[in-house]
Amino acid sequence: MSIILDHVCYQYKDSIRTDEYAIKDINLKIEDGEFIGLIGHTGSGKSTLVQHLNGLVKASAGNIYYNGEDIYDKDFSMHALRGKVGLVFQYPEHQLFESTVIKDISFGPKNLGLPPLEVDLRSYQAMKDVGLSEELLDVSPFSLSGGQKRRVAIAGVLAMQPEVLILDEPTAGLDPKGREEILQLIKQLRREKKCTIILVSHSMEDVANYVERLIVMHHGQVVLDGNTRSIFKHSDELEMLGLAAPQVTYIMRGLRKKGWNVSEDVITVEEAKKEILKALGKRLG
Amino acid sequence: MVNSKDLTFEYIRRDENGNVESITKAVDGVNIHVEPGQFVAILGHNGSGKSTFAKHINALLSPTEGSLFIDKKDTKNLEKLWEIRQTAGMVFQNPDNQIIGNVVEEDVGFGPENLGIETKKIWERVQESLQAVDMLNFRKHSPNKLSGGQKQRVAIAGVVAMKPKCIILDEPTAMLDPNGRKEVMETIKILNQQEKITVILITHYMEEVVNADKVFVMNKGQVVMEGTPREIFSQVEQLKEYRLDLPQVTELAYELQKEGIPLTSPILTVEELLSQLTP
Repeated sequence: MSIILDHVCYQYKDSIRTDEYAIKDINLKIEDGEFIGLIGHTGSGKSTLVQHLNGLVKASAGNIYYNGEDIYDKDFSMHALRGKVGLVFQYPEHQLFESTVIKDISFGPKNLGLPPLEVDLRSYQAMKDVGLSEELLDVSPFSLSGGQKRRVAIAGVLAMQPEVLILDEPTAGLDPKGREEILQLIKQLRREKKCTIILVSHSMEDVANYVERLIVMHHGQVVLDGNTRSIFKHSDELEMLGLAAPQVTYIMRGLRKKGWNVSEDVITVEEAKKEILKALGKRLG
Repeated sequence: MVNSKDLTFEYIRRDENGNVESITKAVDGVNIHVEPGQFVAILGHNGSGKSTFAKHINALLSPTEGSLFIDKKDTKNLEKLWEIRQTAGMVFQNPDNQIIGNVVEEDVGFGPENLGIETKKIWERVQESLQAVDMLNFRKHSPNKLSGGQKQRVAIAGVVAMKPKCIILDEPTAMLDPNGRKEVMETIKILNQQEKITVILITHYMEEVVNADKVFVMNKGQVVMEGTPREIFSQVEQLKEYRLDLPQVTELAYELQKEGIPLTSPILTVEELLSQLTP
């Protein structure tokens, strides 16, 4: 199973200047089970790109293949695609609207046309998966905390049992603990549900700690694509794009400049600690 | 500038018949003192009461108990309401919710216009404010086409144009990319250092409070820690208990210290760590 984007372009219909592309000539292959981080500054085309993946936005040119099938083929069921590729928007808690938590979560699977029992089972399971307690079943989602609301919103997408889960800045506006909880949840979902995950993020530290592959966008194009570690080696380039590498990467670079024999491949605090201790050991011993 | 004495605020929830269902103490006996010209940061996890406290500073909320004085004016005094709101301007998280004008300069002029200032003076203020946030080149632009960081700077200019003595920023960078975050933080620094405006910054990003004069940590509606960034960040275990984290470099230094590497704690910047490791 995979998603292939072949020369995908998107132009806003009302664009006065015809040379303005929201995304331009995107060629990507997303394999089954990958954990991908999508980064880029505001307006770089990240959100537009992910909206193509579940057919919310139709490419002006190019093709998208979901498991080998052209999604723009007239026989292809867009409706089914939306169930398979789940998209959690930015600030998804703004989209809660039902009177109870469970009703809100059921909205997605119900729209897929599943039998009522199946809808209930899936919704209940999704609620458990995101770590919401049963007591909240009949509570109004509006009385919950920000972090809990976000979990309800994520559960609503999970209840559709997607094969691909896309989350657009799922940690924005949460406190450090809330951020970590959501990221741990995503990691766990990936492990247990084996779904492909695409994480759109502004936090380099978050993507460094979690994702395996990083796609960097700029002006609607993919400018870097590779495993997370190798991408953060391009810290100068990232800065030119309005991004940055994690703080520890700069520490290691600084140490190397001063003649320390430490690896540049370091992207987390844990790794940095090991490298520095190793280097110090050599120096002392 | 800002002086709160045992400030308490309760959210009271009532049922259909008006009976009290529950009372939540969002702010509980807070004493915060901010000197004119200071750059103060307030940290705390979601629901710790920091935003509720902030909304008191420009009198959007009024204390249930205790008192709050802004530039010696009591926020409970309704007659002083407009003066207080002019003294203390507020910038919120989402720039899109704060911008109303079709053109950048009109948006910035909205505040002073509402203060009843004569037209010529308004334009002067618009010019000065946009200059202060380095957005003068965009004065004739539509706010829709700006980046997040630029929009937030326009929102800040809109507050600056009212010539406040104090600006409260409630997570102004939460929705921005790293570049936008940097732009906004630089703007805040300039306003504080050059325009001498008192700044109260509420944030989740520990990197942003490193340069503050003073940091308050809130938990369950109370101020639980108070001090310079260096004092605050030396209490790592306590911060973790309050669900806060550390700048990566501070955390790395802390971990190295635990392994017996001699470093003076706490380390707040990459440069500090480098100079200590490689004297």
